[in-house]
Amino acid sequence: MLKGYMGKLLRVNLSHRTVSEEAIPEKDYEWLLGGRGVAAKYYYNEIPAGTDPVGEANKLIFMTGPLTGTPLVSTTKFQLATKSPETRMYLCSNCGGDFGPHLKQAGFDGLIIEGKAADWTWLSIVDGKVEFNDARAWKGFTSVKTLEVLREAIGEKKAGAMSIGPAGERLVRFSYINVDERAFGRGGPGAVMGSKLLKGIVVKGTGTIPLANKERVDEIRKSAIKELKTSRANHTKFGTPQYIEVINELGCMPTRNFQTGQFEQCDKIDAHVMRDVYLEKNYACYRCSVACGKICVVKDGPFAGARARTEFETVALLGPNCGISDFGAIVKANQVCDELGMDTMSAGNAVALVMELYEKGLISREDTCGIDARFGDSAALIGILELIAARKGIGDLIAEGMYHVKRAKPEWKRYVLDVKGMPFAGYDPRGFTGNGLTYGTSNRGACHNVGGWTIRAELQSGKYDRYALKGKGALVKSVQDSRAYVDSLGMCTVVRGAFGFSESPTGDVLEAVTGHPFTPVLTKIAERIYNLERVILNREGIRRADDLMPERITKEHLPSGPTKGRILTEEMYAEMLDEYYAARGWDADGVVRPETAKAAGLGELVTL
Amino acid sequence: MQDVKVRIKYLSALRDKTHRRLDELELPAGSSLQDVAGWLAKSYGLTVPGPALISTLNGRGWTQLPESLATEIHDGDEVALFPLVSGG
Repeated sequence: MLKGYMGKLLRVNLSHRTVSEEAIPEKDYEWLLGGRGVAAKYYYNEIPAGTDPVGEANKLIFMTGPLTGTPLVSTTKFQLATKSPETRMYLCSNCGGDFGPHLKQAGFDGLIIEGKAADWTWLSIVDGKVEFNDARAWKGFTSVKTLEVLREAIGEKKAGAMSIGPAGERLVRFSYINVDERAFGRGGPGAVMGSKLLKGIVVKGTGTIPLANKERVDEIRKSAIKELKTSRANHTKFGTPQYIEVINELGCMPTRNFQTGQFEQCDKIDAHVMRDVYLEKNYACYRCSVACGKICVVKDGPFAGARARTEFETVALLGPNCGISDFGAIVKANQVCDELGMDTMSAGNAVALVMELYEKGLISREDTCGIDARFGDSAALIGILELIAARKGIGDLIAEGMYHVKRAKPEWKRYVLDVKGMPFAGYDPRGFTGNGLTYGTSNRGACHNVGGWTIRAELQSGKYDRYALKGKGALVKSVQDSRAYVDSLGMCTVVRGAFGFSESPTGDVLEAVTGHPFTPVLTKIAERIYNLERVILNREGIRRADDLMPERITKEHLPSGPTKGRILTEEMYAEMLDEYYAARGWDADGVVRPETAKAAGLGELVTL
Repeated sequence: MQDVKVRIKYLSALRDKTHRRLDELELPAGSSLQDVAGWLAKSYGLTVPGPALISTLNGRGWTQLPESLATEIHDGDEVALFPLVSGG
């Protein structure tokens, strides 16, 4: 048997209160690696097209990777596959924290939650033992409070825990799952848990993960820690907020609902402000030497006492995108999202939409329950977030997510920045054409992770520049593929470079952990995963028309800043998309060709 | 011929290396990015372009410019230096 894996998953049925253990076929590991790849296969087999994301038939498929929980660096990651309440299609999501390592040490590579509880429930998994517990008294608890009570309830301060907040209970379509204060953030998986009346899960594992070559693993770990001290020094110092100033300077900072690409008050919210005024301490995930998490505290002013772990995406989308120049207000909004249990990225886009609609007179003060919802108003930012989570006024419609908003209010479409119902990440694609293609072709909607992050290559490659079209299809495919295998490893992408996990993988860490020669075939595995996910999306009806850019990007030129005049028209985008489909081996409508599926070996894994 | 002025912006962690946000540099007409690189090496010990940072001229990567370091600097040009970016 391969080392590095536990070889089985735990299946919990909430309707029948049953628990079973199942072996995971070794071929699944060899062909799909783990994490995102193996979870996609279970999704393919168990969640048919037409499944209601917030219905009893949807499932939560959690899957670790071969490196999760191993004694390397930042081996914290595990993966979720579920039908997204936000996009109404396949969702893959990646998360850190302690839960994944504990699940594995409890004896399981995966955990599948199915059915629906009769009333609010929490689960405990202590090594192999599963208990169903009454969570009725916890209804209404914030996601953060729920993590605390979960750990207290089993008397294990260091257990892994996941929870939802009030937004998940109310099925807000972009509610998240809080995992040890990291998150399965995007796509609304909190609403899946909420629909199952599952308030939280706590897991404690004490077992050992088998390693093929313990000595070599130790050597690699020491060498990686040494390299990361230099290569990720800026992450340790500033975390991802280090990009705020850079993205703004490059003219692609989402500003006032992507109306322009440079925020004029960026110097009030940049990484130096964060570090010098708000930083309380660094936060490190399981076995991470980088500690890129930045816990920020507001010491004075209207938001004194607010505390949150603030990232670039959160700052960009709750800050400039809402016209907010008070870093304290961003920390407060971040905390409110965490407590209510909402994705800060979708929430930031949602608030920005409300503000633009309000300023244009398309919604009234009655709709906003009395909030003067103008860009730049910190109180309005907090108030709108609370309206959404409480489903009051305009918040009730917005809580259904952009997929629904565009259908219920087609006249608002030009103000909605999304792909497939998932709102944009914190980069305006008119400033980097490849970034637009990543949003369009990501297998979960407008995402910079699954979609791939091309900005560095678009600034450094000798083959094309940031505004070029030719070559971007191949670039996007390459970064997406590398992310697909990294998401299947169980290791954080921040440290991947120290282990040779690039677009052209090198090194022997997977061999040292598993004893299997994975490294030479990682790119092939990645293509297989990406194609399997697209086959799922095709089955759910996704085609070329769903891969396109929203109106603001194709029809409005950026009006100011260093990217003034830039646009990504339908014709420009189509040129890149055609090249991308050709590189993928998909047809002109974005459907995986039979020969591509065959070459990827999908027919040997699932019944096509 | 008149000198040309170029603004050099130090972003994010680069600010901690130079302890400045901005320099305004005057160079003789006909100067190139190679001259800017030389000034940065002499003033701050920075290797530009180099493996530890990204350098842009008016928003485009130095290494992407058709004439690379030989690119001529014009009055009002902006150079930005920042750490390697990898997504938020």
